[in-house]
Amino acid sequence: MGIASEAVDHGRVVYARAYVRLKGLLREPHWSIAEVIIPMLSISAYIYMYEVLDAPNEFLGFVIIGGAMLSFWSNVLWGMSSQFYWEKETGMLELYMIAPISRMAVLIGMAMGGIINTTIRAISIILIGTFLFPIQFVIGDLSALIIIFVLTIVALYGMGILFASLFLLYGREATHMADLMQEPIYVLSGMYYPVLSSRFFPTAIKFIATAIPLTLGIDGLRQLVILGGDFSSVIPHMIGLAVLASVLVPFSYIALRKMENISKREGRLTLRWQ
Amino acid sequence: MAIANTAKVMAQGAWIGWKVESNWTDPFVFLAYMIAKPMASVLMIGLIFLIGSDAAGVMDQQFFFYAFTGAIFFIYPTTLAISLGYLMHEDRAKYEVLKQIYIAPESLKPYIFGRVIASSVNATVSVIAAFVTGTVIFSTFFGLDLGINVLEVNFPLLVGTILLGIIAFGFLGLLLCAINLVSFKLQHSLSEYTTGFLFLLSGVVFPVSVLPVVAQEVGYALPTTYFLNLVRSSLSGSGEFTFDLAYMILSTAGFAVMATILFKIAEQKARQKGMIDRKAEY
Repeated sequence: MGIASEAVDHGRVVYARAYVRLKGLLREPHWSIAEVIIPMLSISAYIYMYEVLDAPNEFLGFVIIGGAMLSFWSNVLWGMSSQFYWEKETGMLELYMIAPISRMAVLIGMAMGGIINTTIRAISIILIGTFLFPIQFVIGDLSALIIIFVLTIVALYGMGILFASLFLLYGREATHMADLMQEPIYVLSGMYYPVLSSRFFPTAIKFIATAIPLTLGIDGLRQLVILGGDFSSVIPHMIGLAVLASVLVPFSYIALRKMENISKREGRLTLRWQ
Repeated sequence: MAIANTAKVMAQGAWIGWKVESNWTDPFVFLAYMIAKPMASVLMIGLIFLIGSDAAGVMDQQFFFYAFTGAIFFIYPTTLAISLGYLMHEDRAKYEVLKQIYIAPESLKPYIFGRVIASSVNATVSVIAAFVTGTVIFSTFFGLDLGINVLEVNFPLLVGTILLGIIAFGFLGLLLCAINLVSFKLQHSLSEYTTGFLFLLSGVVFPVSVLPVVAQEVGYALPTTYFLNLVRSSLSGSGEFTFDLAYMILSTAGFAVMATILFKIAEQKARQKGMIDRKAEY
Protein backbone atom coordinates (compact mmCIF):
# COMPACT_ATOMS: atom_id res chain seq x y z
CA MET A 1 0.00 0.00 0.00
CA GLY A 2 1.37 3.39 -1.00
CA ILE A 3 1.84 6.33 1.30
CA ALA A 4 -0.95 8.25 -0.43
CA SER A 5 -3.56 5.54 -0.01
CA GLU A 6 -2.44 5.00 3.58
CA ALA A 7 -2.89 8.71 4.22
CA VAL A 8 -6.38 8.54 2.68
CA ASP A 9 -7.26 5.61 4.94
CA HIS A 10 -6.04 7.48 8.02
CA GLY A 11 -8.01 10.52 6.89
CA ARG A 12 -11.17 8.44 6.60
CA VAL A 13 -10.68 7.07 10.12
CA VAL A 14 -10.10 10.57 11.48
CA TYR A 15 -13.25 11.80 9.71
CA ALA A 16 -15.33 8.82 10.88
CA ARG A 17 -14.39 9.29 14.54
CA ALA A 18 -14.75 13.07 14.40
CA TYR A 19 -18.14 12.63 12.72
CA VAL A 20 -19.45 10.70 15.74
CA ARG A 21 -18.48 13.59 17.99
CA LEU A 22 -20.11 16.18 15.76
CA LYS A 23 -23.22 14.10 15.26
CA GLY A 24 -23.45 13.71 19.04
CA LEU A 25 -23.53 17.50 19.33
CA LEU A 26 -26.74 17.57 17.29
CA ARG A 27 -28.27 14.36 18.60
CA GLU A 28 -27.86 15.21 22.27
CA PRO A 29 -28.09 19.02 22.33
CA HIS A 30 -28.85 19.02 26.07
CA TRP A 31 -25.30 17.77 26.72
CA SER A 32 -23.88 20.78 24.91
CA ILE A 33 -26.22 23.10 26.80
CA ALA A 34 -25.17 21.48 30.09
CA GLU A 35 -21.51 21.93 29.22
CA VAL A 36 -22.06 25.66 28.86
CA ILE A 37 -24.48 26.25 31.75
CA ILE A 38 -22.71 24.11 34.37
CA PRO A 39 -19.31 25.84 34.11
CA MET A 40 -21.10 29.22 33.94
CA LEU A 41 -22.50 28.54 37.43
CA SER A 42 -19.09 28.21 39.07
CA ILE A 43 -17.62 30.95 36.87
CA SER A 44 -20.37 33.29 38.10
CA ALA A 45 -19.67 32.31 41.71
CA TYR A 46 -15.97 33.14 41.37
CA ILE A 47 -16.78 36.44 39.63
CA TYR A 48 -19.07 37.39 42.52
CA MET A 49 -16.31 36.44 44.93
CA TYR A 50 -13.88 38.80 43.17
CA GLU A 51 -16.55 41.51 43.24
CA VAL A 52 -16.95 41.09 47.01
CA LEU A 53 -13.17 41.33 47.34
CA ASP A 54 -13.28 44.52 45.24
CA ALA A 55 -10.61 43.12 42.92
CA PRO A 56 -9.84 45.06 39.70
CA ASN A 57 -12.22 44.48 36.81
CA GLU A 58 -9.62 42.54 34.80
CA PHE A 59 -10.00 39.64 37.26
CA LEU A 60 -13.54 39.09 36.03
CA GLY A 61 -12.11 38.61 32.54
CA PHE A 62 -9.45 36.28 33.92
CA VAL A 63 -12.22 34.04 35.29
CA ILE A 64 -14.11 34.02 31.99
CA ILE A 65 -11.01 33.11 29.96
CA GLY A 66 -10.06 30.41 32.49
CA GLY A 67 -13.62 29.07 32.50
CA ALA A 68 -13.71 28.91 28.70
CA MET A 69 -10.40 27.02 28.61
CA LEU A 70 -11.70 24.73 31.34
CA SER A 71 -14.06 23.31 28.68
CA PHE A 72 -11.04 22.06 26.75
CA TRP A 73 -9.53 20.47 29.85
CA SER A 74 -12.83 18.74 30.64
CA ASN A 75 -13.00 17.50 27.07
CA VAL A 76 -9.42 16.21 27.25
CA LEU A 77 -10.16 14.38 30.51
CA TRP A 78 -13.62 12.98 29.83
CA GLY A 79 -13.73 12.97 26.04
CA MET A 80 -10.18 11.77 25.38
CA SER A 81 -8.42 10.26 28.41
CA SER A 82 -11.33 8.20 29.72
CA GLN A 83 -12.71 7.39 26.28
CA PHE A 84 -10.95 4.06 25.74
CA TYR A 85 -12.08 2.98 29.22
CA TRP A 86 -15.70 3.78 28.28
CA GLU A 87 -15.31 2.06 24.93
CA LYS A 88 -14.09 -0.96 26.86
CA GLU A 89 -17.09 -0.81 29.21
CA THR A 90 -19.53 -0.66 26.29
CA GLY A 91 -17.77 -3.40 24.33
CA MET A 92 -16.57 -1.12 21.53
CA LEU A 93 -12.86 -1.23 22.21
CA GLU A 94 -12.31 -4.69 20.77
CA LEU A 95 -13.99 -3.54 17.55
CA TYR A 96 -11.47 -0.71 17.25
CA MET A 97 -8.69 -3.18 17.86
CA ILE A 98 -9.71 -5.73 15.24
CA ALA A 99 -10.46 -3.12 12.56
CA PRO A 100 -7.55 -2.54 10.12
CA ILE A 101 -7.09 1.06 11.21
CA SER A 102 -4.58 3.19 13.03
CA ARG A 103 -5.44 3.67 16.69
CA MET A 104 -3.67 7.03 16.53
CA ALA A 105 -6.04 8.07 13.73
CA VAL A 106 -8.99 7.13 15.96
CA LEU A 107 -7.65 9.32 18.76
CA ILE A 108 -6.87 12.19 16.40
CA GLY A 109 -10.43 11.96 15.03
CA MET A 110 -11.75 12.00 18.56
CA ALA A 111 -9.61 15.07 19.29
CA MET A 112 -10.69 16.88 16.09
CA GLY A 113 -14.39 16.36 16.82
CA GLY A 114 -13.83 17.33 20.46
CA ILE A 115 -11.94 20.49 19.50
CA ILE A 116 -14.75 21.69 17.22
CA ASN A 117 -17.46 20.92 19.80
CA THR A 118 -15.52 22.43 22.65
CA THR A 119 -14.57 25.57 20.74
CA ILE A 120 -18.28 26.26 20.22
CA ARG A 121 -18.87 25.77 23.96
CA ALA A 122 -15.90 27.94 24.94
CA ILE A 123 -17.07 30.76 22.66
CA SER A 124 -20.58 30.44 24.16
CA ILE A 125 -19.12 30.77 27.67
CA ILE A 126 -17.19 33.89 26.67
CA LEU A 127 -20.26 35.44 25.02
CA ILE A 128 -22.59 34.67 27.95
CA GLY A 129 -19.97 35.84 30.45
CA THR A 130 -19.50 39.09 28.57
CA PHE A 131 -23.26 39.58 28.45
CA LEU A 132 -23.78 38.91 32.18
CA PHE A 133 -20.78 40.70 33.65
CA PRO A 134 -18.97 43.98 32.96
CA ILE A 135 -15.99 42.55 31.11
CA GLN A 136 -14.01 44.25 28.37
CA PHE A 137 -11.82 42.37 25.95
CA VAL A 138 -9.05 44.11 24.02
CA ILE A 139 -7.57 42.07 21.20
CA GLY A 140 -4.24 43.70 20.46
CA ASP A 141 -2.66 41.11 18.18
CA LEU A 142 -4.93 38.63 16.43
CA SER A 143 -2.11 36.59 14.89
CA ALA A 144 -0.47 36.07 18.31
CA LEU A 145 -3.87 35.10 19.71
CA ILE A 146 -4.39 32.46 17.02
CA ILE A 147 -0.85 31.08 17.45
CA ILE A 148 -1.23 30.81 21.24
CA PHE A 149 -4.64 29.18 20.94
CA VAL A 150 -3.55 26.64 18.31
CA LEU A 151 -0.37 25.73 20.19
CA THR A 152 -2.34 25.32 23.43
CA ILE A 153 -4.87 23.05 21.75
CA VAL A 154 -2.21 20.91 20.03
CA ALA A 155 -0.26 20.47 23.29
CA LEU A 156 -3.42 19.88 25.31
CA TYR A 157 -4.83 17.22 23.00
CA GLY A 158 -1.37 15.66 22.69
CA MET A 159 -1.61 15.27 26.44
CA GLY A 160 -5.13 13.88 25.99
CA ILE A 161 -3.90 11.19 23.57
CA LEU A 162 -1.09 10.35 26.00
CA PHE A 163 -3.58 9.96 28.87
CA ALA A 164 -5.91 7.90 26.68
CA SER A 165 -3.05 5.46 26.12
CA LEU A 166 -2.26 5.28 29.83
CA PHE A 167 -5.95 4.91 30.71
CA LEU A 168 -6.09 1.89 28.40
CA LEU A 169 -4.62 -0.07 31.28
CA TYR A 170 -7.10 1.16 33.86
CA GLY A 171 -10.24 -0.53 35.06
CA ARG A 172 -12.82 1.38 37.05
CA GLU A 173 -10.14 3.57 38.62
CA ALA A 174 -10.05 5.46 35.28
CA THR A 175 -13.02 7.59 36.31
CA HIS A 176 -11.44 8.39 39.67
CA MET A 177 -8.10 9.25 38.07
CA ALA A 178 -9.82 11.62 35.62
CA ASP A 179 -11.79 13.05 38.53
CA LEU A 180 -8.58 13.57 40.48
CA MET A 181 -7.10 15.55 37.61
CA GLN A 182 -9.80 18.21 37.78
CA GLU A 183 -9.51 20.44 40.85
CA PRO A 184 -5.73 19.94 41.41
CA ILE A 185 -5.13 21.01 37.80
CA TYR A 186 -7.47 23.99 38.22
CA VAL A 187 -5.35 25.08 41.19
CA LEU A 188 -2.01 24.69 39.43
CA SER A 189 -2.93 26.03 36.01
CA GLY A 190 -4.57 29.18 37.36
CA MET A 191 -7.99 28.59 35.91
CA TYR A 192 -9.46 31.45 37.98
CA TYR A 193 -6.39 33.56 38.85
CA PRO A 194 -3.00 34.41 37.39
CA VAL A 195 -0.29 31.96 38.44
CA LEU A 196 2.84 33.01 36.56
CA SER A 197 2.68 36.66 37.66
CA SER A 198 1.48 35.93 41.20
CA ARG A 199 3.79 36.44 44.18
CA PHE A 200 1.95 33.72 46.11
CA PHE A 201 3.34 30.87 44.01
CA PRO A 202 6.97 29.85 44.56
CA THR A 203 9.14 29.64 41.42
CA ALA A 204 9.36 25.86 41.67
CA ILE A 205 5.55 25.55 41.64
CA LYS A 206 5.33 27.94 38.68
CA PHE A 207 7.86 25.82 36.83
CA ILE A 208 5.89 22.63 37.53
CA ALA A 209 2.68 24.39 36.48
CA THR A 210 4.13 25.25 33.07
CA ALA A 211 4.29 21.52 32.30
CA ILE A 212 0.51 21.73 31.96
CA PRO A 213 -0.27 23.33 28.57
CA LEU A 214 -3.28 25.10 30.10
CA THR A 215 -1.10 27.25 32.38
CA LEU A 216 0.84 28.86 29.54
CA GLY A 217 -2.19 28.91 27.25
CA ILE A 218 -4.50 30.65 29.71
CA ASP A 219 -1.82 33.12 30.76
CA GLY A 220 -0.97 33.93 27.13
CA LEU A 221 -4.62 34.43 26.20
CA ARG A 222 -5.19 36.68 29.22
CA GLN A 223 -2.16 38.77 28.26
CA LEU A 224 -3.53 39.20 24.75
CA VAL A 225 -7.25 39.74 25.30
CA ILE A 226 -7.46 41.36 28.72
CA LEU A 227 -4.17 43.02 29.55
CA GLY A 228 -3.64 44.38 26.02
CA GLY A 229 -0.31 42.58 25.48
CA ASP A 230 1.33 42.38 22.06
CA PHE A 231 3.17 39.63 20.18
CA SER A 232 6.43 40.13 22.08
CA SER A 233 4.70 39.76 25.45
CA VAL A 234 3.70 36.18 24.67
CA ILE A 235 6.85 34.90 22.94
CA PRO A 236 7.89 32.93 26.08
CA HIS A 237 4.42 31.36 26.13
CA MET A 238 4.73 30.39 22.47
CA ILE A 239 8.15 28.81 23.02
CA GLY A 240 6.93 26.90 26.06
CA LEU A 241 3.80 25.63 24.31
CA ALA A 242 5.77 24.66 21.19
CA VAL A 243 8.17 22.64 23.36
CA LEU A 244 5.26 20.93 25.13
CA ALA A 245 3.51 20.13 21.84
CA SER A 246 6.68 18.75 20.26
CA VAL A 247 7.28 16.49 23.27
CA LEU A 248 3.71 15.39 24.04
CA VAL A 249 2.55 14.47 20.54
CA PRO A 250 5.37 12.02 19.64
CA PHE A 251 5.45 10.70 23.20
CA SER A 252 1.72 9.97 23.04
CA TYR A 253 2.30 7.94 19.86
CA ILE A 254 4.99 5.83 21.55
CA ALA A 255 2.85 5.44 24.70
CA LEU A 256 -0.17 4.30 22.70
CA ARG A 257 1.81 1.49 21.03
CA LYS A 258 3.37 0.41 24.32
CA MET A 259 0.14 0.43 26.29
CA GLU A 260 -1.72 -1.41 23.56
CA ASN A 261 0.88 -4.16 23.64
CA ILE A 262 0.76 -4.41 27.43
CA SER A 263 -3.06 -4.49 27.38
CA LYS A 264 -3.08 -7.26 24.79
CA ARG A 265 -0.47 -9.29 26.64
CA GLU A 266 -2.29 -8.97 29.96
CA GLY A 267 -5.73 -9.50 28.44
CA ARG A 268 -7.12 -6.15 29.60
CA LEU A 269 -8.78 -5.03 26.39
CA THR A 270 -12.03 -6.89 26.92
CA LEU A 271 -12.20 -6.77 30.71
CA ARG A 272 -15.30 -5.03 32.02
CA TRP A 273 -16.33 -3.90 35.52
CA GLN A 274 -12.97 -4.71 36.99
CA MET B 1 -39.66 -6.27 62.78
CA ALA B 2 -40.13 -3.79 59.95
CA ILE B 3 -37.75 -1.33 61.61
CA ALA B 4 -35.15 -4.03 62.13
CA ASN B 5 -35.48 -5.05 58.50
CA THR B 6 -35.10 -1.45 57.31
CA ALA B 7 -32.05 -0.97 59.50
CA LYS B 8 -30.54 -4.17 58.12
CA VAL B 9 -31.05 -3.04 54.52
CA MET B 10 -29.59 0.38 55.33
CA ALA B 11 -26.54 -1.26 56.88
CA GLN B 12 -26.15 -3.42 53.78
CA GLY B 13 -26.54 -0.35 51.57
CA ALA B 14 -23.87 1.49 53.57
CA TRP B 15 -21.53 -1.50 53.30
CA ILE B 16 -22.06 -1.80 49.53
CA GLY B 17 -21.58 1.95 49.20
CA TRP B 18 -18.30 1.77 51.03
CA LYS B 19 -17.20 -1.19 48.89
CA VAL B 20 -18.19 0.40 45.57
CA GLU B 21 -16.68 3.78 46.41
CA SER B 22 -13.45 2.48 47.88
CA ASN B 23 -12.46 -0.84 46.37
CA TRP B 24 -11.25 0.50 43.02
CA THR B 25 -7.81 0.92 44.51
CA ASP B 26 -5.65 0.31 47.58
CA PRO B 27 -6.46 2.19 50.81
CA PHE B 28 -3.54 4.62 50.49
CA VAL B 29 -4.53 5.81 47.00
CA PHE B 30 -8.17 6.00 48.11
CA LEU B 31 -7.24 8.18 51.08
CA ALA B 32 -5.09 10.41 48.87
CA TYR B 33 -8.04 10.76 46.48
CA MET B 34 -10.40 11.58 49.35
CA ILE B 35 -8.06 14.30 50.55
CA ALA B 36 -6.52 15.68 47.34
CA LYS B 37 -9.73 16.58 45.52
CA PRO B 38 -11.51 18.55 48.27
CA MET B 39 -8.18 19.98 49.39
CA ALA B 40 -7.60 21.37 45.91
CA SER B 41 -11.06 23.02 45.90
CA VAL B 42 -10.36 24.67 49.24
CA LEU B 43 -6.87 25.75 48.13
CA MET B 44 -8.39 27.31 45.04
CA ILE B 45 -10.85 29.37 47.10
CA GLY B 46 -8.05 30.44 49.45
CA LEU B 47 -5.86 31.45 46.51
CA ILE B 48 -8.69 33.42 44.87
CA PHE B 49 -9.10 35.22 48.21
CA LEU B 50 -5.37 35.92 48.52
CA ILE B 51 -4.79 37.02 44.94
CA GLY B 52 -8.02 39.03 44.72
CA SER B 53 -7.39 40.73 48.09
CA ASP B 54 -3.80 41.47 47.13
CA ALA B 55 -4.96 43.13 43.90
CA ALA B 56 -7.64 45.10 45.79
CA GLY B 57 -5.19 46.10 48.50
CA VAL B 58 -7.47 44.97 51.36
CA MET B 59 -7.23 41.70 53.30
CA ASP B 60 -10.54 41.01 55.03
CA GLN B 61 -9.86 38.00 57.29
CA GLN B 62 -13.54 37.69 58.23
CA PHE B 63 -14.38 37.13 54.59
CA PHE B 64 -11.63 34.50 54.45
CA PHE B 65 -13.36 32.68 57.32
CA TYR B 66 -16.66 32.95 55.42
CA ALA B 67 -15.35 31.60 52.09
CA PHE B 68 -13.03 28.99 53.61
CA THR B 69 -15.67 27.40 55.85
CA GLY B 70 -18.26 27.62 53.08
CA ALA B 71 -15.99 25.81 50.62
CA ILE B 72 -15.12 23.10 53.15
CA PHE B 73 -18.59 22.27 54.42
CA PHE B 74 -20.04 22.45 50.91
CA ILE B 75 -18.25 19.11 50.49
CA TYR B 76 -21.31 17.47 52.15
CA PRO B 77 -23.94 18.45 49.55
CA THR B 78 -21.44 17.94 46.72
CA THR B 79 -20.44 14.42 47.76
CA LEU B 80 -24.02 13.31 48.37
CA ALA B 81 -25.42 14.86 45.20
CA ILE B 82 -22.67 13.36 43.04
CA SER B 83 -22.83 9.83 44.45
CA LEU B 84 -26.64 9.67 44.59
CA GLY B 85 -27.12 11.49 41.31
CA TYR B 86 -25.32 8.61 39.61
CA LEU B 87 -26.62 5.75 41.75
CA MET B 88 -29.71 4.74 39.75
CA HIS B 89 -27.80 4.69 36.47
CA GLU B 90 -24.89 2.81 38.01
CA ASP B 91 -27.08 0.11 39.56
CA ARG B 92 -29.48 -0.15 36.62
CA ALA B 93 -27.24 0.09 33.55
CA LYS B 94 -23.69 -0.49 34.72
CA TYR B 95 -23.91 -3.22 37.38
CA GLU B 96 -27.44 -4.31 36.40
CA VAL B 97 -28.52 -4.97 39.99
CA LEU B 98 -31.33 -2.47 40.41
CA LYS B 99 -34.04 -5.00 39.63
CA GLN B 100 -32.68 -7.41 42.25
CA ILE B 101 -32.56 -4.65 44.85
CA TYR B 102 -36.05 -3.58 43.86
CA ILE B 103 -37.72 -6.97 44.15
CA ALA B 104 -36.24 -7.62 47.60
CA PRO B 105 -38.78 -6.64 50.31
CA GLU B 106 -38.66 -3.01 51.57
CA SER B 107 -35.32 -2.47 49.98
CA LEU B 108 -34.91 0.45 47.58
CA LYS B 109 -35.38 3.48 49.84
CA PRO B 110 -33.48 1.99 52.81
CA TYR B 111 -30.76 0.94 50.36
CA ILE B 112 -30.51 4.52 49.06
CA PHE B 113 -30.26 5.83 52.63
CA GLY B 114 -27.59 3.24 53.31
CA ARG B 115 -25.65 4.72 50.42
CA VAL B 116 -26.25 8.17 51.97
CA ILE B 117 -24.51 6.91 55.14
CA ALA B 118 -21.50 5.64 53.17
CA SER B 119 -21.17 8.91 51.23
CA SER B 120 -21.58 10.95 54.41
CA VAL B 121 -18.72 9.08 56.08
CA ASN B 122 -16.54 9.75 53.03
CA ALA B 123 -17.58 13.41 53.03
CA THR B 124 -16.76 13.73 56.74
CA VAL B 125 -13.24 12.37 56.16
CA SER B 126 -12.77 14.85 53.30
CA VAL B 127 -14.10 17.76 55.40
CA ILE B 128 -11.79 17.00 58.33
CA ALA B 129 -8.75 16.50 56.07
CA ALA B 130 -9.46 19.67 54.06
CA PHE B 131 -10.11 21.71 57.22
CA VAL B 132 -6.91 20.64 58.97
CA THR B 133 -4.56 20.87 55.98
CA GLY B 134 -6.19 24.06 54.68
CA THR B 135 -5.86 25.75 58.06
CA VAL B 136 -2.21 24.70 58.37
CA ILE B 137 -1.31 25.79 54.81
CA PHE B 138 -3.03 29.18 54.94
CA SER B 139 -1.86 30.08 58.44
CA THR B 140 1.72 28.83 57.99
CA PHE B 141 2.49 30.07 54.48
CA PHE B 142 0.14 33.02 54.06
CA GLY B 143 -0.49 34.25 57.60
CA LEU B 144 -4.27 33.92 57.29
CA ASP B 145 -6.06 33.35 60.56
CA LEU B 146 -9.53 31.81 60.63
CA GLY B 147 -10.10 33.33 64.05
CA ILE B 148 -11.61 30.13 65.44
CA ASN B 149 -11.22 29.70 69.19
CA VAL B 150 -11.69 26.00 70.01
CA LEU B 151 -13.05 26.88 73.46
CA GLU B 152 -15.79 29.01 71.91
CA VAL B 153 -16.88 26.52 69.25
CA ASN B 154 -20.45 25.34 69.79
CA PHE B 155 -19.80 21.63 69.21
CA PRO B 156 -23.35 20.40 69.89
CA LEU B 157 -24.65 22.87 67.30
CA LEU B 158 -21.93 21.87 64.84
CA VAL B 159 -22.67 18.14 65.17
CA GLY B 160 -26.43 18.74 65.09
CA THR B 161 -26.09 20.91 61.97
CA ILE B 162 -24.01 18.29 60.20
CA LEU B 163 -26.52 15.54 61.03
CA LEU B 164 -29.41 17.74 59.92
CA GLY B 165 -27.48 18.60 56.76
CA ILE B 166 -26.87 14.94 55.99
CA ILE B 167 -30.61 14.27 56.32
CA ALA B 168 -31.47 17.25 54.05
CA PHE B 169 -28.86 16.31 51.42
CA GLY B 170 -29.89 12.65 51.70
CA PHE B 171 -33.40 13.65 50.66
CA LEU B 172 -31.91 15.82 47.93
CA GLY B 173 -30.18 12.61 46.79
CA LEU B 174 -33.52 10.76 46.92
CA LEU B 175 -34.96 13.45 44.66
CA LEU B 176 -32.08 12.97 42.19
CA CYS B 177 -32.67 9.20 42.32
CA ALA B 178 -36.35 9.81 41.51
CA ILE B 179 -35.45 11.88 38.45
CA ASN B 180 -32.89 9.32 37.30
CA LEU B 181 -35.32 6.49 37.79
CA VAL B 182 -37.57 7.92 35.07
CA SER B 183 -34.85 9.30 32.79
CA PHE B 184 -31.85 7.82 31.01
CA LYS B 185 -29.48 10.53 29.96
CA LEU B 186 -29.29 12.88 32.90
CA GLN B 187 -27.09 10.92 35.29
CA HIS B 188 -23.95 12.92 34.55
CA SER B 189 -25.41 16.39 34.21
CA LEU B 190 -28.05 16.26 36.94
CA SER B 191 -25.68 16.19 39.90
CA GLU B 192 -23.45 18.78 38.22
CA TYR B 193 -26.40 21.12 37.69
CA THR B 194 -27.48 20.57 41.30
CA THR B 195 -24.09 21.25 42.86
CA GLY B 196 -23.48 24.15 40.45
CA PHE B 197 -26.74 25.90 41.35
CA LEU B 198 -26.25 25.24 45.07
CA PHE B 199 -22.67 26.57 44.88
CA LEU B 200 -23.83 29.78 43.21
CA LEU B 201 -27.00 30.40 45.23
CA SER B 202 -26.28 29.15 48.77
CA GLY B 203 -23.72 31.70 49.93
CA VAL B 204 -20.82 29.26 49.76
CA VAL B 205 -17.99 31.64 48.87
CA PHE B 206 -19.81 34.99 48.94
CA PRO B 207 -22.95 36.24 50.73
CA VAL B 208 -26.32 35.59 49.09
CA SER B 209 -27.06 39.34 49.35
CA VAL B 210 -24.56 39.98 46.51
CA LEU B 211 -26.74 38.10 44.01
CA PRO B 212 -29.49 39.72 41.89
CA VAL B 213 -32.81 39.95 43.78
CA VAL B 214 -34.52 36.98 42.11
CA ALA B 215 -31.51 34.74 42.70
CA GLN B 216 -31.38 35.94 46.33
CA GLU B 217 -34.92 34.74 46.89
CA VAL B 218 -34.01 31.28 45.60
CA GLY B 219 -30.84 31.28 47.70
CA TYR B 220 -32.71 32.18 50.87
CA ALA B 221 -35.10 29.26 50.29
CA LEU B 222 -32.37 26.62 50.09
CA PRO B 223 -31.43 24.48 53.12
CA THR B 224 -27.76 24.67 52.06
CA THR B 225 -27.72 28.42 52.80
CA TYR B 226 -28.88 27.83 56.40
CA PHE B 227 -26.66 24.78 56.79
CA LEU B 228 -23.58 26.90 56.00
CA ASN B 229 -24.82 29.78 58.18
CA LEU B 230 -25.25 27.38 61.10
CA VAL B 231 -21.80 25.85 60.57
CA ARG B 232 -20.27 29.35 60.61
CA SER B 233 -22.25 30.31 63.72
CA SER B 234 -21.14 27.17 65.56
CA LEU B 235 -17.48 27.64 64.61
CA SER B 236 -17.43 31.30 65.61
CA GLY B 237 -19.40 30.65 68.80
CA SER B 238 -22.08 33.13 67.76
CA GLY B 239 -25.32 32.95 69.74
CA GLU B 240 -27.47 34.18 66.85
CA PHE B 241 -28.51 30.98 65.19
CA THR B 242 -32.14 30.44 66.22
CA PHE B 243 -33.67 31.64 62.95
CA ASP B 244 -31.18 29.66 60.83
CA LEU B 245 -31.78 26.53 62.91
CA ALA B 246 -35.56 26.87 62.74
CA TYR B 247 -35.46 27.40 58.99
CA MET B 248 -33.02 24.53 58.50
CA ILE B 249 -35.33 22.13 60.42
CA LEU B 250 -38.38 23.41 58.57
CA SER B 251 -36.80 23.27 55.11
CA THR B 252 -35.36 19.81 55.76
CA ALA B 253 -38.80 18.53 56.79
CA GLY B 254 -40.43 20.15 53.75
CA PHE B 255 -37.74 18.78 51.50
CA ALA B 256 -38.13 15.30 52.98
CA VAL B 257 -41.88 15.28 52.33
CA MET B 258 -41.46 16.60 48.78
CA ALA B 259 -38.64 14.13 47.91
CA THR B 260 -40.58 11.17 49.36
CA ILE B 261 -43.71 12.01 47.38
CA LEU B 262 -41.79 12.58 44.15
CA PHE B 263 -39.84 9.36 44.63
CA LYS B 264 -43.10 7.46 45.10
CA ILE B 265 -44.52 8.97 41.89
CA ALA B 266 -41.29 8.24 39.97
CA GLU B 267 -41.24 4.68 41.27
CA GLN B 268 -44.82 4.05 40.08
CA LYS B 269 -44.08 5.59 36.69
CA ALA B 270 -40.89 3.54 36.33
CA ARG B 271 -42.80 0.33 37.10
CA GLN B 272 -45.61 1.19 34.69
CA LYS B 273 -43.17 1.96 31.87
CA GLY B 274 -40.83 -0.93 32.57
CA MET B 275 -37.92 1.34 33.45
CA ILE B 276 -36.62 -0.49 36.53
CA ASP B 277 -34.52 -2.91 34.48
CA ARG B 278 -34.27 -1.01 31.19
CA LYS B 279 -30.67 -0.83 30.15
CA ALA B 280 -29.34 2.10 28.17
CA GLU B 281 -25.71 2.65 27.20
CA TYR B 282 -25.13 6.29 27.97
